[in-house]
Amino acid sequence: MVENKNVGQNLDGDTRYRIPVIFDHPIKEAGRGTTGGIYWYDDDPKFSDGTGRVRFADKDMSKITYPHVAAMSEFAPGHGKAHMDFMREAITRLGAIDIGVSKPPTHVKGWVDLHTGAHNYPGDAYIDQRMNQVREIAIEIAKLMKCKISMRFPSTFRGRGGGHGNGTCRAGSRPQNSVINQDFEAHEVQGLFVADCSSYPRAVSSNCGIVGAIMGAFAARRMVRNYFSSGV
Amino acid sequence: MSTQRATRRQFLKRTGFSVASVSVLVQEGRGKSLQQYLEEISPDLEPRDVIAVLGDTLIPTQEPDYPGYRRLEKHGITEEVLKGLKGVGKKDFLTFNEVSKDFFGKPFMELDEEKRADYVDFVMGLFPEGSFGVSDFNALSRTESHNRDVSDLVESAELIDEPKELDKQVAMVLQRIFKLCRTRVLTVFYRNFPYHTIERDAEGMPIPTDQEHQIINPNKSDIITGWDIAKFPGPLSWEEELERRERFMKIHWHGEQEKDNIY
Repeated sequence: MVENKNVGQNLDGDTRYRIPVIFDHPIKEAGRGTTGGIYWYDDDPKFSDGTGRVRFADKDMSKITYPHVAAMSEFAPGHGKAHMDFMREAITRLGAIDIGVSKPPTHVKGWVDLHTGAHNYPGDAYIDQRMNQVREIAIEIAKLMKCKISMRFPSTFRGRGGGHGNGTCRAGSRPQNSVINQDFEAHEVQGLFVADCSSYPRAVSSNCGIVGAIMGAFAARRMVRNYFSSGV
Repeated sequence: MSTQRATRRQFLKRTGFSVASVSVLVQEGRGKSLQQYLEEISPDLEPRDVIAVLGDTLIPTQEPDYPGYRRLEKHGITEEVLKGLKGVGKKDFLTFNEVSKDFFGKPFMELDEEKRADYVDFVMGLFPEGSFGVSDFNALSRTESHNRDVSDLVESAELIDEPKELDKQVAMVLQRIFKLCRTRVLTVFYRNFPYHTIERDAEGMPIPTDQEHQIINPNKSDIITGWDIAKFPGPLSWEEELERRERFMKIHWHGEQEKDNIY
């Protein structure tokens, strides 16, 4: 039996929040749309490695809004005929601006509870500060788009981040602070490979599905190189 | 000990166009206690009865412009709503019904339609400001039933009544019942009840509405449902698929790079 205390540690990932908006007029076709959308990043000039990078996305503005979701919108009146009047156009008028710190500082790491699978992420004052800065920009964008934007906003994002997580079996040269080596092989167990989003050590500023696939492709090549390319 | 005081002006502001003449002071240990209400409730009443009336208040019916909740009773909408409220205690429902008596003269179930709406506004006033959207007055003014000048009502209202007292524990029961029931009623209704599930054959296989193209749309045209009100069309029809296929094939996504596309 071997144990590496780093398994489940070093959780890195993004901190996101979805700010609902509503337009005065329809902006999309009822019940039709795509999960695609427009997004862009903004870096903190204080850092050259992308730390503090934030992401804006036009969440739900091109996507289908389902009636039962619109019915519970914070823009919906509480009840009565006013609520039904709201519902007559709601699924074509609702959207959201998705904001998030996609590359947190390196000192902010969470962990996964190996018994329950729960994510624990501490957050940080810097992440809170960046989220508030981004929110101000989102409000300006909403003004330019002439839509109403929700004024609800959490007072802190501590404990809410670590989404699109990575790093919990991270690669590294030293067993003291990593789980696998550069060839994706566990430090302690020969022939045990970990190749998924937990393998890479730092958040990559994006959703992690494609990066997980890249890890698999790299791991396969290195396994072939190390174990099957010596003429055997 | 926390205190929440809502003046009539705040109440009217929160509830938009309501003219319910109630101001309330929510405080722990003040007003009638939860235990006192529990002693007064009618044991014959069932949660189902309260939900049916609350559903009718949340989504009122006035044909033909407002095809609401009540029409779907014969299809079993309240039973469907109840499926998602099994964990809620009967006493909470009955307390919700009973508290109305102290503020509107009668239990919730016995109030007329307008007073029931006022009671619901009263409960909504117990939530933090901004918990619910305000009425879209421009949209409302298009309908005769709501064509009245809201600002006049607010300005002419007497500003402060002697507030009635409401125990904090009781207020929490009202909030809980309202929030849970509102969520469940609106969700069931706008998930297209009674056509919220697809039809299946004896072996459990879905029955396509368009057999040839294997398209399944649970909605039908004989009942106005939540989808119809929201103008949600359901899945693409075959004709729409063809039209979109043609439209998207004409879009040149990558310009010059397309010539290298081996597909």
